Amino acid sequence: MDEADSEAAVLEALSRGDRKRALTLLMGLYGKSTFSYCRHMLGDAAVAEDVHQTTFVQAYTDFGRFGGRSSLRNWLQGIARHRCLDMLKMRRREDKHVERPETAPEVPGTERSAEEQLQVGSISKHLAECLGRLSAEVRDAVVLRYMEQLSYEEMAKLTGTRAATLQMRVARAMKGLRECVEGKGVTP
Amino acid sequence: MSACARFDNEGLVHFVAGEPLDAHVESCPDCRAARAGYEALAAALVEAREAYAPPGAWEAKVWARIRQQESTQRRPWAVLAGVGAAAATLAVLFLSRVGGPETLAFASVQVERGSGAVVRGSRAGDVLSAAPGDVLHLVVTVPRGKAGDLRVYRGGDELLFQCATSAACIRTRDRLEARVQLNRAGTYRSVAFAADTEVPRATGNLDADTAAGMRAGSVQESPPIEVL
Repeated sequence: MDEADSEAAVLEALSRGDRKRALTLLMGLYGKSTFSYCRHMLGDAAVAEDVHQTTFVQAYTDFGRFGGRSSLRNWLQGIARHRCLDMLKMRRREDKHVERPETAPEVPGTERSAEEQLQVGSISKHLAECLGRLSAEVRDAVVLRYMEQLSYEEMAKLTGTRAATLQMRVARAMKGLRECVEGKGVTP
Repeated sequence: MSACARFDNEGLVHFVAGEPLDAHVESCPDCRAARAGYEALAAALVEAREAYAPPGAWEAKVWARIRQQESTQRRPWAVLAGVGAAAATLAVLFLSRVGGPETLAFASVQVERGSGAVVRGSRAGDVLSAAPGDVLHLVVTVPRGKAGDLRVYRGGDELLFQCATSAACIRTRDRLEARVQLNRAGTYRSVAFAADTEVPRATGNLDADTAAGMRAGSVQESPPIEVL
């Protein structure tokens, strides 16, 4: 079943008022990609888990407000994005007032799950570290473009930023990412 | 940086958009190498999407949170608790008329829908969603003897409303009340400030204003409102 058919099944469940079935299908369809987005945006595994779950809880609550103006995927992406940016802002504000002990940035391969470590290659590890150095809005643009594979028009609709601005943002980020990755002795 | 400055400075914008590159790129070995490097980087980014998988049983945790949310809304004692809370609110209001509240707090955060329905935030961390045209109704209690302000921001850099400068703000001795229309999509945050003499002037930047407010006194932020 392709993505459009799968989304049609979710919409069909919603039209019957079966939100539980709709959420089950939605989690199966986009659970992994939404987690990947949150994880790349937030860096921290535990925080990403929490925001990932919050995204689907909010989707369940807000199904009635889905107006069909975008695909379910982009609608869900919008929720995840807002929740991630909220979390980043909250942490930034807290950081201004609370001294946290200095910790090394969390990158793939250095954290808890052995299963996760196996999934991650060397280039991914360095890329995650380099992505973490970008500002939230630039990182968001790169992740939406390459990992979520959105067009600039879709990104513009989602973020409220002009497509041309996003294009410039991604171009600058690519240059910085390449320098960063090469600086770690890795040739992409 | 690659060895081809022309590609880095001009070609990249076209490359990231998937647009055709100029003829120079094809004829220049350095530019061809630069393009190959960026293609590999783009491919690595696409592959990195698979680098993380959600932890096992995450769906069960989502359902548990939904059940918890629904049971809080349905439980009969929640109605009694609501009645109790209303009584407590009345008591607080009564006491505040006598002596004034002790702490800065949001007494009420409500989204008034176009249909007239009201949704109320219940705990910190809740996210209320709203539609363009809905109205945000806020009531804040300010500690007795303190200066207070209530502001609503859209995103991090747009100050939409400020009690200190708005005639629409209803001020009593220790209470601020405002209704703010949510006209456009975005994340709206309501922030209450209290200070001994004067709340620092608003710059319009949420982070800067919050930091200044905390230095001068106390700050409270309500759960964000998502206008979709």
